[in-house]
Amino acid sequence: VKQYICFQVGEARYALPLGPIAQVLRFENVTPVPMAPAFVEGILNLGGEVVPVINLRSRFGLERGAPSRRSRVLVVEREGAKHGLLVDGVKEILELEDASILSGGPPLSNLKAELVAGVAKVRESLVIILEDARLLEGEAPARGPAGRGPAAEEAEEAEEVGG
Amino acid sequence: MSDERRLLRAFLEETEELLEKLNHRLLELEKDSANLELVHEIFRLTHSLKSESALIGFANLSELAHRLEDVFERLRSGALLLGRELLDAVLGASDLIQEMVARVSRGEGDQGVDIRSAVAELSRLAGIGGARAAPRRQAAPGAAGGSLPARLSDAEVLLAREALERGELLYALSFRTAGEPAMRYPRAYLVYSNLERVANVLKSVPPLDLPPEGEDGCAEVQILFSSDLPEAELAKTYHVEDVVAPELVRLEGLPEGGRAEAGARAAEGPEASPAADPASRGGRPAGSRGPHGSVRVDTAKLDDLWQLVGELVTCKARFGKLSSGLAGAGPAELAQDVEKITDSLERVTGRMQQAVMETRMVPIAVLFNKFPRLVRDLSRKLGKEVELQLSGGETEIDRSLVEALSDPLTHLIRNSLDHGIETVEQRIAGGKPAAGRVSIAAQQRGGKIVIEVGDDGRGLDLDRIRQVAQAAPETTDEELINFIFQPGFSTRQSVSELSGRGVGMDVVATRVKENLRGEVLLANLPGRGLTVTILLPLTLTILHSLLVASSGQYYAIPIRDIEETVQVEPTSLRPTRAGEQMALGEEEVPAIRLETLLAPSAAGGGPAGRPEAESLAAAAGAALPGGEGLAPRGYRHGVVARSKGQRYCLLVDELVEELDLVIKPLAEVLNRRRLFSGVSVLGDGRIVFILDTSRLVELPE
Repeated sequence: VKQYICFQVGEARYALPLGPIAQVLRFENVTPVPMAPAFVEGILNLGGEVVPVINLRSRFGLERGAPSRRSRVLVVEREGAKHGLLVDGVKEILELEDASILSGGPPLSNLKAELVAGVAKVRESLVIILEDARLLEGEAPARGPAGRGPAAEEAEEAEEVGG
Repeated sequence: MSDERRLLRAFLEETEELLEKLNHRLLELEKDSANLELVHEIFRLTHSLKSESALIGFANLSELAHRLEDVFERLRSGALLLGRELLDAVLGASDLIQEMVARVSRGEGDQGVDIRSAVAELSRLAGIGGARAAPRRQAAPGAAGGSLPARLSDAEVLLAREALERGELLYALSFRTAGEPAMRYPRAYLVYSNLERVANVLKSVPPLDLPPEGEDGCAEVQILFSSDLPEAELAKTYHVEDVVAPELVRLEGLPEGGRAEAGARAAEGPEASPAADPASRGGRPAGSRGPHGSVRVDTAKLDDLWQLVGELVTCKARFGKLSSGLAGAGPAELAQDVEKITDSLERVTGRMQQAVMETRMVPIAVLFNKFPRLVRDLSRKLGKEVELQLSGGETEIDRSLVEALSDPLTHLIRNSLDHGIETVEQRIAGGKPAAGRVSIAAQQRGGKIVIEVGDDGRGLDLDRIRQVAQAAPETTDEELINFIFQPGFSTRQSVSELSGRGVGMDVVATRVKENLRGEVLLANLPGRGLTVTILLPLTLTILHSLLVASSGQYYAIPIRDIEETVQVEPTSLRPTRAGEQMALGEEEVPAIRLETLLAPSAAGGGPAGRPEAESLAAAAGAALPGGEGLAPRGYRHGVVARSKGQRYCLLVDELVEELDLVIKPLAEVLNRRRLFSGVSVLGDGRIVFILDTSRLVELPE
């Protein structure tokens, strides 16, 4: 049994392993970065450390939307470096058995398959388990099958320039 | 960290130092092959190298070092003469040693390098048999007495004579080792190495530089050495556990046949020496006998300390803000107290910053040391004669700069040798001395490190650059010189093995600018030489900056990048096809609004879909359509900076203050345009972006 943090982005529910989550913060004091890619919400000062914050709505191809009272920043720590993920709200901590997680992408989603680790059914609704490492990988200007396709990159560039 | 790793690390540190010295001395020796002092020193270096690596169990390494030692032993005794061939073999062997040490430091051990041919070559040239110094391993001597039983070799006699001439005294130390047989050699070796640190060891019986074959090989030991230290000092060297019945005898001279006769009196035993603790005396980890003493500190610790000082600087700034906020607001006494404390905090922080910074400083010589070898090898390969002049090696630079500077400097030197210095025939035909000159000079000037790499070669061929760049006829010389900073630019027609690959000055300039936040300047004397000057900040992580505000966000501009700040009347801005202009003294310069630059969409939208739209073009595009982009804003301040040599004025809302900022890197993905050289956190926790003024603006042609 592993613990997961379950959160909402848009209409759907997602979960990430709790292990690498260092902190959950309210959405405040995020400084926008001029000319940064669209999926970057900004940077955050965490006790002197400057942490980039990824907007998961943009990352998932949803409309950006204004942050609400429920918005949270999940601070994920991987290999000593921290990154924030802006989500529309944190729901609960789930305990899931590995066997209960079905592999393969969710049936109705525009989410890229490589971001998804699996799907679990929790109280009759689906929770999409994210591949946290891939989520972070996407931040870098990745190439090839593991990263975003060139089309996505171009679209993003256009967005950056044209707004 | 395990003991083993600690040992390995200490070994690597020491070995790298030894190797560096070795390389340096070898090159000196090449120029001055009759210099016996150099031969002696190299002998000692190879000896230490051999002993250190044998002690930690690197057999290949120690074997090769041993061969070198043998060679230099024969050289110093005059039994061998240093010729071209031998020197090459020696240098080759020292390269192999370097490679092995590099492997060891990568955790690969010393076995991956084939030393057989090098060993054979050295043995052949030195006329030494294949067997490992077998003749030196003689039978153990008889009981210690008033004379040294073992015969001294001619070389040892020579060394002893020299020592006597220097005014040193000759001693014979004899002792026995007790305790566990396995520990006898280490004990004896400890005495031996203690002595080596303070005295000039001529010979030991049995030879202690390698473990003896039999277990009781070290039961009785005799060491012959010379020293000018008082005997009480010498006694400390053999105050070692399980070393028993030590007897230090002063020898009165070297009679015929090299058999040393005992002096009249025996020196006092160890019990007479005052509180001699071998651990405190040996000073092994420090490895230094300087008058102030020194310790080795893990550089990671220094980096941590530096980070902490950075945070302290931020706290100090915060405190300063608090203090000025309190002035006039709270009770007067409290405000005064806070002000006082803030003042001393500021002083202490400043001094601490300085002190910690100094611990990170190393003399630039550590970098320079590898260049003589580089120049030697390259000039031979190119068939040119080149003399290298190094100066200012004592100039101290931040250790983080050393590595980052290595490639750019190497490249500049290669450029000089390959493109700059002419062949001997060409030089003579041109009325120049046959040997070209390459100089590397470092100094600290003002708040900067200045490094000049110069040569007296042909300089830049401006006509050739003009041709290759297909430059317009009216292009000035200065503009032409700037072409060599363009990516991929090279005037070299044939791709040479050296620097003519088109990855040239642009790489140097980019590295220096982006990694080191420095500048590269060129001074070209056509036909007479080229000097490349690199200007670097003293430290990389703290930056004196001007804080400016634009659209409610703070940005920092490094003070060094600012030519001046000016008052700007909105009416003085004149729209042009490319954007806006304003008068600055005699000159019309582009006037660029920072907010437009950083948020083109907010001001009307740049040309969508262009993946690498130049920032300025976007900004200008925003201002163009019918002038509606020209919002009637009250810009009052301008910061004058340069990009690619062109001045421009950056328009901002407010000049806030000057302050020291601790730079933190900004993740690559957030900064694809490289508009920022980093970010910093202000005293109040606010994040500011540090603008890279040379990148921020792509000025139109």
